[in-house]
Amino acid sequence: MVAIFHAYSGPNAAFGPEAAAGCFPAEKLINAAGGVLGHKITCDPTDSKGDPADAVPAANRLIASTSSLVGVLGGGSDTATAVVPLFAQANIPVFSTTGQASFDHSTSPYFWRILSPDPAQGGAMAAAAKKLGLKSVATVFGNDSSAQGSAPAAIAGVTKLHLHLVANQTIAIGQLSYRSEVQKLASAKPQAIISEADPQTSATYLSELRQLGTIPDLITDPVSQEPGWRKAVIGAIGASNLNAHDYAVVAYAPLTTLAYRTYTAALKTIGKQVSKPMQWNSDLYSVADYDSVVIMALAMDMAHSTSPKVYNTFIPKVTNPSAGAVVVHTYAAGKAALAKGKRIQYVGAAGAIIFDRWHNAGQGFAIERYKNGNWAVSSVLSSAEIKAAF
Amino acid sequence: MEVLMSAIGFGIVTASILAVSSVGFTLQFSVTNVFNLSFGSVMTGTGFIAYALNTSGISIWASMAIGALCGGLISVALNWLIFGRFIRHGISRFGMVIVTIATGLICDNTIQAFVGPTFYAYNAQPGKAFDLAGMLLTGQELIIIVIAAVMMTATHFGLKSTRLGAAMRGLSVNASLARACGVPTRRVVAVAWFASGVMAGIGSVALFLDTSTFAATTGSQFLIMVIAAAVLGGVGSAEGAVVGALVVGLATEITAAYWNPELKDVVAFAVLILVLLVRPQGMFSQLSSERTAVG
Amino acid sequence: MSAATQLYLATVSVYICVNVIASWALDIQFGVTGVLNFSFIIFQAAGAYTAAILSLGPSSSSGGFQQYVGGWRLPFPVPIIGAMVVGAVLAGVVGLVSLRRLRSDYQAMVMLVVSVIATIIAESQTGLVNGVAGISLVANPMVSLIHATRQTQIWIFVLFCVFCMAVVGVVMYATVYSPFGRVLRAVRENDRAIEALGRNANRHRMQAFVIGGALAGLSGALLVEFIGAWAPNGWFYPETFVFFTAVIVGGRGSLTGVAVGAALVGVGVQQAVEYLPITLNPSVIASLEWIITGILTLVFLWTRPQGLLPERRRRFPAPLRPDAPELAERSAATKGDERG
Repeated sequence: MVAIFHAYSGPNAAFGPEAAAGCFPAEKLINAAGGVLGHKITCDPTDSKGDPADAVPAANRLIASTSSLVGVLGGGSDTATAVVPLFAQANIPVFSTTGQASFDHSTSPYFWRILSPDPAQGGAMAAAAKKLGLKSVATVFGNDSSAQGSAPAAIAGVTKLHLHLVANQTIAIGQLSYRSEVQKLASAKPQAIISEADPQTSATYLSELRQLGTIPDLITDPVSQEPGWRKAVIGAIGASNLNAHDYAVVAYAPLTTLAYRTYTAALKTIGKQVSKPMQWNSDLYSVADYDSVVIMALAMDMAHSTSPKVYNTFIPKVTNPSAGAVVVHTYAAGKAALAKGKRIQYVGAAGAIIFDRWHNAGQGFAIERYKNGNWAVSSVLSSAEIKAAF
Repeated sequence: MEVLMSAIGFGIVTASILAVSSVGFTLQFSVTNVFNLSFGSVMTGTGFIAYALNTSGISIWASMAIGALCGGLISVALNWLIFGRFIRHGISRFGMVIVTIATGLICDNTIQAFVGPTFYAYNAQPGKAFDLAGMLLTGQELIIIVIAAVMMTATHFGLKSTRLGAAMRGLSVNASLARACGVPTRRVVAVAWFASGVMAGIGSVALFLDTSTFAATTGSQFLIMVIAAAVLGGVGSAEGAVVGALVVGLATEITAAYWNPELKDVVAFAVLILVLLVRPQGMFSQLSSERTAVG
Repeated sequence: MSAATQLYLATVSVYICVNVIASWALDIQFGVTGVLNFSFIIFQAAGAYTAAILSLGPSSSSGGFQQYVGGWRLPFPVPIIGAMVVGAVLAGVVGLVSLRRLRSDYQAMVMLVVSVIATIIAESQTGLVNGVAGISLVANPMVSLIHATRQTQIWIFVLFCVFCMAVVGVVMYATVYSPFGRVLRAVRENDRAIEALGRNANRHRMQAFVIGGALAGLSGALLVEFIGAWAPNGWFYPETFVFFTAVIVGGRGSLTGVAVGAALVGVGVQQAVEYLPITLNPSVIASLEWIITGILTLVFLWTRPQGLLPERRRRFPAPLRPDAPELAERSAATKGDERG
């Protein structure tokens, strides 16, 4: 059983359904291909309540009451530091989507992170600004933890790349109006805004910015691909406005690969477990969670064991490149190759996943635009371009 | 100067929304002496009713009107079901505040269970911005200010010139004497709750328009500001609520413009505390002693 | 019993102890003295933050990814004592501002506003206690004190919490059933009578407030040392209300009653709701917890406002005749408490 341990209530209540949108398609595909060593996988959602004080008893109860727990998708940035040690102590691999820099050099053998940490994201946003040929930008970040992780890197990157930083704002999330900050920003006249903030904050801010005239270009991050964010901001400034100006800087995961198409096909069919599942099809966190579950299953296959303690060490063996490894993009293909005794490298819907010795796997970044109802990669940031921002 | 003028303009918008809500809060308090902390949930509920109407095609202003009427009915229902009964049961003043909080929590979370944690937005365009002497306001914001002004005037004249208004003022000063003079207490109390709910409805739609997105938690977030404005002006005084709303609205926007926008609410609250230190009954209230609740 | 079950039981035990101590703290303020402390949760939060920043090392160490003041790596039990001191001092400050000649609903509102101010300041001043992300990596003191298996360390911490609860219980008993406690109850019931006797009601409220603040700080310290992390999401102003429900359901003014209320409401409701079938949308479960808490309050205030285990009604013996020899000693000791 794979637990989804995220917030289903409180300020980050979208984290839970987001992870479910990754877990359930994986569950479906894995079981359709015969399960893992004869066992079926089930995804079990558990509310972490979004804060450490409530997450700890919930995590302890989850561990105590579930004997067949093989892996956890969980600990968003709101609870990760408190609960990851608990799962690690219980020898259960935990795949977390937190971007906190504190995990960059994690010494826990059971912690795995597929997506880049926040500072890498921030630097990439600065690099994107340079690539788009912008000269003057402003940074507007909410004061929540993930935005605060990427803000310093973004600001430092802008300076390092010799762009003109005309305004640097930290806005309190969830306030009912930002008129004065918006006024100050508009009078600074930036060409573009590098920004990350939660849906409500972004919507209120951008709506008030629009009232003062046209909004400048927006350089955003994976948060802007989340359905909740798009719904709120589109409600505030209109879809055409948003799509014309939004440049999302996200992990490079070509959305046309076989892995991704397999994922979205399965996503369509899980309407019973996740409401309106297709709204999550471009959400990178859901995609990463999907890959996480597939990786868990493949590792169990390779280890010939469903014991978490045993298969944990096989996780990098199914994702990192090795001599003679067959590249696979779906669970079914991976299982088949393993059965033939081959080594595999799973390149998932989120792209290639290469874990370093601290169990982090950052990938390259790309700029995506929303066109004709879909996100499409418009340009890829080379590693040299990203390095220049640090 | 331009910064100051635009801050004042923004402050007036915030103050208008606050004023309608605070007057609703304080009017009901003046008649019934119930410190109603479920006012925020009534705001949230009517805001969502208006959302349901608005997304099925009705214009936002009509939705506001209908939502306000529903708000009035909901308030009367809450008093009939819960608050009035507890008062007649003989609950203490402390207990009554806690009863309203409990009711608010139940209502808020019931709404949340239905609408979920996502954010919603009305189908309404803010319109283009007008520049009035340095204050940049959209058509929507101007309409909100006008509605607020109309409601304030109506309340003022309602209280001063109608028999109902006189009955309310009588109850607010001395309930038993008013009753002895033949004031139909239960009916007037119901009207007070109705009026409070109507104001909550108008205030909530205005608020949700102003923030452009809203969720089940927005009403209770705003409640603190409403109470701050009402207490600042002296709970029970409608004029006080308006002045309190202006002070809070202007204080927040001027702080945001000139100092740290993250702390703008803190400044408004600090003003409240300072005023209460100097004048413990609030700015305009004559009542400093406790009265019994009226249900 | 598996290790996981043991850990879960240990968690529940710690949470019960912490909730009981915190509910007793609110009981001294609200149950006994009648102060509607709607800012209660910030005292527990302040205690937690203090214990965290006193026991952690400097913020620049281990990667510098969290910012906070302090960081002096003080040994056990100094962070806990520090938490109590900060809780008491904060109560003093809040009390100075709100425990004045304000009508009680204004007082309650000022305290509510103070709670909101505290949240805003903690979230926006990221250098203070690391803003919205909160502080993490707080170590359990038993880990460095006792060299044994992790399980043993955790159980020793549980014993320590039980010990703290017992000590607090004794202190509460001594306070509540003492002349001082009687004065506090008198302030609750009829502060004008107390004033007529020449005592300052607000000064006594302040005393109760400060004691409650210290105890709330203690509960926060114990909690953070067990959990290891603390963030603003966990102490928004409605959390105060959970403790109010515990005191009301249990029996305001009654020590055993409040303890029962704390266990039932603070821990029981939350854990029980989690055992509902998984088919229910998880976010509905969270809303359900609050709804049940609210309904519990309303039901108890309507049917049994004195709570499950009500406060003992004190019966005083008939007044002594003026020439009784005991009277002379008594009036020397208690300065006229018995008269009037």
